[in-house]
This record gives sequence, structure tokens and C-alpha cells, in this order.
Amino acid sequence: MRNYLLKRVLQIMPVLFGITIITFFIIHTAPGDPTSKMMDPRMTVAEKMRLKEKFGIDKPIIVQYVDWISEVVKGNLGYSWKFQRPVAEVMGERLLATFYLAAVSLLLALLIGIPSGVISATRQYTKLDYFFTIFALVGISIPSFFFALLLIKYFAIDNSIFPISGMRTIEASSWPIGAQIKDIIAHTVLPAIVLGLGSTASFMRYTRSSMLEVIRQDYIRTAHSKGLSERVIIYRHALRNALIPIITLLGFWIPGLFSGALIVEQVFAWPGMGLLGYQAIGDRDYPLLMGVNLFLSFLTLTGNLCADLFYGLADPRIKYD
Amino acid sequence: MSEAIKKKQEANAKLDARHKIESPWTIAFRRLKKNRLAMVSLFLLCILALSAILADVITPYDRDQINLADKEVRGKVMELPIKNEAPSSNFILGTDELGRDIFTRLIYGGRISLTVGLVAVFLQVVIGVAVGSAAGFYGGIVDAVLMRLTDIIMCFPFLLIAITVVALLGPSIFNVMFALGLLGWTSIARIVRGQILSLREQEFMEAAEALGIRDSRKIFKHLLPNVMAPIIVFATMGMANAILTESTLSYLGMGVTPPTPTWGNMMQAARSIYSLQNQWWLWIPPGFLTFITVMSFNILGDGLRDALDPKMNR
Repeated sequence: MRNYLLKRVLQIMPVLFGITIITFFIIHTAPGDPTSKMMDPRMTVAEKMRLKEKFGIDKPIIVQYVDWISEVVKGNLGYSWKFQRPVAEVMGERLLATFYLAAVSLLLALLIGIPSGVISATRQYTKLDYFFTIFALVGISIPSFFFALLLIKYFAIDNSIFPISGMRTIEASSWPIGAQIKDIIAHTVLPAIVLGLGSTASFMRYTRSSMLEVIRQDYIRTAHSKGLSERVIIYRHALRNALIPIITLLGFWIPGLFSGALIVEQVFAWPGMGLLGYQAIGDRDYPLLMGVNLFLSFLTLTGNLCADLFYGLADPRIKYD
Repeated sequence: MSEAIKKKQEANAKLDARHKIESPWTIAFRRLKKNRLAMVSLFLLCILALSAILADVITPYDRDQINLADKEVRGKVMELPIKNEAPSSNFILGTDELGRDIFTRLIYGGRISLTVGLVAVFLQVVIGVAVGSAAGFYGGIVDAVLMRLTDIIMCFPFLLIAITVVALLGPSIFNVMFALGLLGWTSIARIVRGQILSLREQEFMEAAEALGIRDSRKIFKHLLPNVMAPIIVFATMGMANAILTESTLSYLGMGVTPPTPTWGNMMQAARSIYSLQNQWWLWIPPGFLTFITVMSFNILGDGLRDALDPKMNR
């Protein structure tokens, strides 16, 4: 087990390294750079060079990459050109907002997706099953920004039940703490529903098919013939085994939530990492963009690793070597 | 005498028909036909494809035509664009912020969305099959290098990189196809590799080896036809994803740019709170069509997966 873990962690390194190389080159070889916006036709060549030098983009791209990666290895992600502050600091402020949103929508997805998947499987081909199946199809097919717009129109504009955008009301910092918490919750509802819809639908589909496979197994028949109640069979014997594939799905899904947050954060002006990355593209803020990319890739890799490890913990039949 | 022979022949023909050996494709299609939901989706997609092909014939106006009407402004009669008009008998889905017919632009938008999806998925399948079959067939160092590359691209934050590529190359229809094609081939490569790894060990490949045929013939004639089923399912689901991503990119202004209409960039109208609240015809029809198209591809993909699965009882 320890050897396996060590091997996997060592495998992550070259992949992460490869990701940074490719993304760095994609970003830096593109025509135009951050200085082109600040340049003025009246500037002399020497002045233009000085501006490029200030941003460190006058050197060959390989040198730039080596400079960047050797700082990253030391734990320094560089300075954001736009914010004029360390990238790690800027990202740190936004991380919490995205993490909070992702956690709420994941909770929503687990609480709704798994039970409805179980119900769907145990009552296969009933009206309830068709309802959940169609719901799941709608969930994976609707463009999330379109769903967000529909919710905003109905709940925020036509009926002012929830606020339109942002994470908190501007003047909220002077309110009592209880009102502030209420304010944040009200702002969370719509974006969390939009971000959670796709995951809910996926969990539902996977739980249903996994459950359908499990309840046809011999040991479930044995449990039936032993005279156990339906509830005990489904929730104690079947569900435990049916959930094993869901663990893998979770490992892939959590990083996906952070990436998917990009659209939701953009539509709802939620001050998170996705919006930060999106704005960094517009501002050509390369160090910040590389920082966000690195973070998301790292999250994906660790998510996959955790999925494999927990898979083994949940299913003792799997051996690592 | 001849009568008796005829009867016998007929009986034989009937017997043959009953025991006719069906090809796997006929069986799959017969099973797909039983799936009513998948057939409805297929029907919807055919209508959509047809309307995209025949867009020039069925649309009442030109794609970018700005429709004008006489209006009285301060006592003078002037010809002005009919902006943001609600649906009427002249414009069945109203007009947009420049006075163009929305129904016309929806049909042309479908043409763009479907084309982007088709080209992007074609690229994904070509790259994915090439990488997957090379890795699976040759193994060793080729496999190790190609699969590490696949791992790397698989771990890219997809949307962020897609937006970056398109933003840096400049938003255009070709760059969207390019970005989607280059970033989306990893899962099909993995599927093809896995299938080829197991097929390679089977007897018919030993026979192919004994015949001494070329590698390319082994791959294209003997291995790939056996991997067609998952490729078809992937391509169908891939269409759904490509159309969804294209519309997202175009909505964010990082995809196909106006005046070329796509469902995604038509929905940009909803960025104005006024339009969002009062002018549903600007953004709900393109959103709804995207949704229906993506759902149809997903249902068809599910149906094909079940129909092509040899483990399902016939």
C-alpha cells in the first residue's frame, strides 16, 4: 500500500510538469502580450523594450519557463501583473468563495442524486423512475448558463425572492452578524442550484445503473430468502456495494465542480477562482492565469489519486501492487 | 410435379428467412428501433439537420437583413429598423436588437452549431483513434509516451484552456472547432487503446500475424472494425458536449462572433437585464433549441450504447 502510494505520487510529478509546459507555451506563444495594450504609437523602440523587460517577456520563451518553474518549485507563484500582488495571495482570497459554492452544490447533489437514484432503480419502469430518468437527462443536457438565466429571470427579476448576483449585499458589512449570514445564504441559493444540477443528474444516473446491477446479484437473492425486510436489503446490503463506483465519480467530479464554477461565477458575478481565471485571460495576466491553471490541474490529479485510494478502502477485493 | 417442387422451394425460402444470419449492425438497428425515445430523438435531429441544410430555402428573410419600416419621428416619416419587436405574423419569433428576423437567425444558427459540433467531433475521433490504436497496437515506449500525453491533456482545466486558446487566437468559428478538437480526444483514445489491447491477444490476430500482413492493414481491417461500436457511441455523446461547449463559449463572447449567428451568441442578448425580463423571444428560443438538440444527442447516445451492447439479450 505504501509503495503504491509512493509510486502514484511520483507518477503525478511528470504529468503536472507536462501540464505546466504545455499550458505555459499555449499562453505565451500567442500573438499579443499584456504590454501591447499599454503601448502607445509615440513610444520609442527603447521605451517599448523597457516595458517588455519590466514584465520579463523580452527573453526567449524557454528561459521564461525555466524562470517561472524554478520559482514555482520553491513555492512562489510570482506576481500578478494586474493586481500587483503575489498570485498565491490573490488566489487565496478567492479560493474560499469557490470552495464554499462547490461544497454546497456537492452536498445538494449527494442528498438528492443518490436517494433518487436508489428509488429509480428499486422501482424500475414505474412512473417515478421515468420522472427521475427524465430529470437526469434534462440536468445533463441543459446549458448551465441558460438554466441560470431562467432562474434569474423567474426568482430574481420577476419575483424578487433571491438577489440577482454577487456573494453579499454591498452595505452588508455594517449589518449584525445574523443578517449577514442570511444575506450570504440568500445569495448562494441560485448559483448552488445551477452548479449542482449537472452533478445531481450524474449521480442519479450512476447510482441507478450501479444499483440495478447490484440488486441482481446472488447475495441479494439470499438476503431476500433469508426474510430480511426490503429496507434493510436495499440500504444496508445493496447500497453499500452500489456506492463503490460513485467514489470514483466523486474523485473526478470535485475538480470538475471547480472548473464548472467558471460559468456559474461569470453569470452570477460570484467572486471565486473561476471568475478570477476568466478575468485573467481577458487581462492577459499570465502569472495569475498560470497559477489558476496549476491549481486546477493539481486538484484534478489529487482527485483522481484519492478516488483510486478510497476505491481500495471501500472494496477490499482490490489489491494494490 | 413442378407444383410440388415450387412448394418445397417456398418452404425452404421461409425457413431461410427465419434462420437468416443477421449482421451485428442489423441487430443493433432493430434493437434501436424498439427504443421509442431514441427514435424520437433521431427524428428531431433529422429535422434539425434538414432545416440546417435547407436554411436558404425555408427562411423568410436573409440572415443579416435589417428589416425597416416607416415610422413617424417628430412629424417626419422615416425608414427605421424594426428593433426588438415582439413575435407577430410578419416575424414569427420577433426581431433582434438590430431588426433582424430571429426565426431566420435561429435556423442559420443551427447550421453553425451543428457544423461546429460535427467538425470538432470528427477531429476528436481522428486524433483519438490514431493515438489510441497506435498506443494499444505498438505498446512499449510508444504506449507510455502517448498515454502520458493523454493523461496530461485529460487533466487540463478544460473550459479555462479552451477559453484561453480561443481568446488568444482570436474568437472565430475555426478556432472553436480547433480548440474543441484538440482538447476533447482523450477519452476516445483511452477507450480505443483498451479495446485494442484485449483484441490484440485474440486468435484472429494470431492468424493475421501468420498471414504476414502489414501493420496498417491489421489495424484498419482487423482491429478498428471491432472498436466501431464504442466509437459511434462516443461520437454521438461527443456531439452533445461539443454543441454545449460551443454555445457556452459563444455566450461568453469567446466563440463564434457576430454577425454569424449561433445559438450561443444569440443568447448574449440576455446579458441586458431589460431583455432578460421583457424580451423572452431574444434568448429563450436559442436556449431551448440548444437544450433540445443536446438532449436528443444524449438520448440517442444512450440508445445506441444499449443497442450495440452484445451482452444485452437479443
